Amino acid sequence: MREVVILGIGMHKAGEFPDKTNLELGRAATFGALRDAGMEFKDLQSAYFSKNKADPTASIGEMMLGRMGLTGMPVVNLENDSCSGSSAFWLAYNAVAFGRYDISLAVGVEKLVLPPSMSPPPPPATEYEAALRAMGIADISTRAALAMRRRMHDYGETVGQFARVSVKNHKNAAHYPYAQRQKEVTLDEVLNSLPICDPLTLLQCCPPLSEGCAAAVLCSKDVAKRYQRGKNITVASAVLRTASESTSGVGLTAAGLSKSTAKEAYNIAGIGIDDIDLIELCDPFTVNEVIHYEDLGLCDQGEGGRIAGDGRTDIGGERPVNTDGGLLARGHPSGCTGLYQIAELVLQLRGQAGPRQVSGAKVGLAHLEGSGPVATVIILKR
Amino acid sequence: MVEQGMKPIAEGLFTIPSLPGEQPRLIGSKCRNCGRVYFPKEVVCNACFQEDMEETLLSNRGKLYSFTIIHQKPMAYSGPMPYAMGLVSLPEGPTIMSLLTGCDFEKLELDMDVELVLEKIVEEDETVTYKFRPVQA
Ligand SMILES: [Zn+2]
Repeated sequence: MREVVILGIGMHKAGEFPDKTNLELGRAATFGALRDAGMEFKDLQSAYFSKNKADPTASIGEMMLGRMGLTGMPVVNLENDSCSGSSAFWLAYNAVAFGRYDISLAVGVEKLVLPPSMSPPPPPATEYEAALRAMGIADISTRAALAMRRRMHDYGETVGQFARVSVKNHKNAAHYPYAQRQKEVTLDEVLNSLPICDPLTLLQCCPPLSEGCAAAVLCSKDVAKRYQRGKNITVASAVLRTASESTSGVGLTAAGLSKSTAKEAYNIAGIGIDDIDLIELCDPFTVNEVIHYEDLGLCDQGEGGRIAGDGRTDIGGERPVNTDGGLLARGHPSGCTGLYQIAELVLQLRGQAGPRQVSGAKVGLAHLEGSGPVATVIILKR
Repeated sequence: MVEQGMKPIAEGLFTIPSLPGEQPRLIGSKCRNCGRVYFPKEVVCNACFQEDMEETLLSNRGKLYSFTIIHQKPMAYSGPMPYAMGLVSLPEGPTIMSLLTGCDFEKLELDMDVELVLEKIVEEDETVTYKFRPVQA
């Protein structure tokens, strides 16, 4: 395997952009990443395009990238729920690491095709899924609430500890111009926000609607010398896994899949949690951040709530988590969330994160878990 | 409870009692090779990869693993608000996502014994579904 570096990153702000098209969002991030890499569009040799699961447009990646330049390069479209953007990155990484191409683009766009009020939900995959919807118990927010209550019972965690995650992530996002929510919130505001499903409140959930685009240019280490732009960031490992054991029920409070994915990523990179300076992890709801502290090895099982409350994952703490606000505050445009995570790690490892800078950051980890289930863990180092 | 003419929310999820005193049961499948039990029914055992399943009726009692009170109405749901749902662990292994009924929200507790009942989701509609309710002491 060849060493792969990230030469450029580009982002459009996350949020709601009813007046912008897919192409405008895609162009902003793609050209941003190319500029950052010191490259032109025609230098790209392959592209992996991840998208919103609700977008029915066929081959949207070919169309979008084709309007930036017709180069004949292969383009693949993909959807992998919350892991869509990180899956595009994984494919781009493999293409370069295994020598098929020298330069690959990973780009993800999330653009809502219709306003949500006019947009029909996707058809249920099975009759059982249809039944769960009619019973009103299909929303993933309910899984988060069930996990919160069980953890409060088993580990003595408190709603305040979960809410603290939201306060931290909003505070981080307030210093990130590309974040969807750039306003700090207080513990009381989080706890007293609209009840969704007890004990989950609105400000413990990521924004319901997010659009955006993020991109990364990956390159073999040798070819990167032609485009030297200062500090290169190396991909130490990129792992994508699906479930290998059934986690029915228990899956609410201990995501075995994320644990095994992280383990493989640590092994390939030849490092452990002690070597990681900062983490971007999957926090669609506050409880998920707490659970994933345990999966990634920040603490033992049952201690996640305690460390959420004690400041060690704040910027300035022992190991900062979600320095750009995470899914909760930066936003969760699922087609490109993974690439926003990559962008934040690259900024941090280059020392370009401004007021969010984690001092001396050398190694960062990005984690996501989506329906399927599917999980990705990517480790970057400078 | 269940009367003539009611239609199940989906085929193959539960039995509808036809005799007085008979209890409704959830319909699962059991792997003949490794014994793992699934709900709803599966064709292939994803633990041992065998395609050798038999239909099995699950216990109509379980324990409440967790619960939540839902305050925002989901799109496809037309029942009363707010409402309780829970995750019920059955002795055979599967955990079941289910509506909860016959309960005072304040009195729900983790690990309490719950039992299966069939009920309508909406009073005006014939459709019945499975729900769990606390076992009366
Ligand atoms: Zn089996």
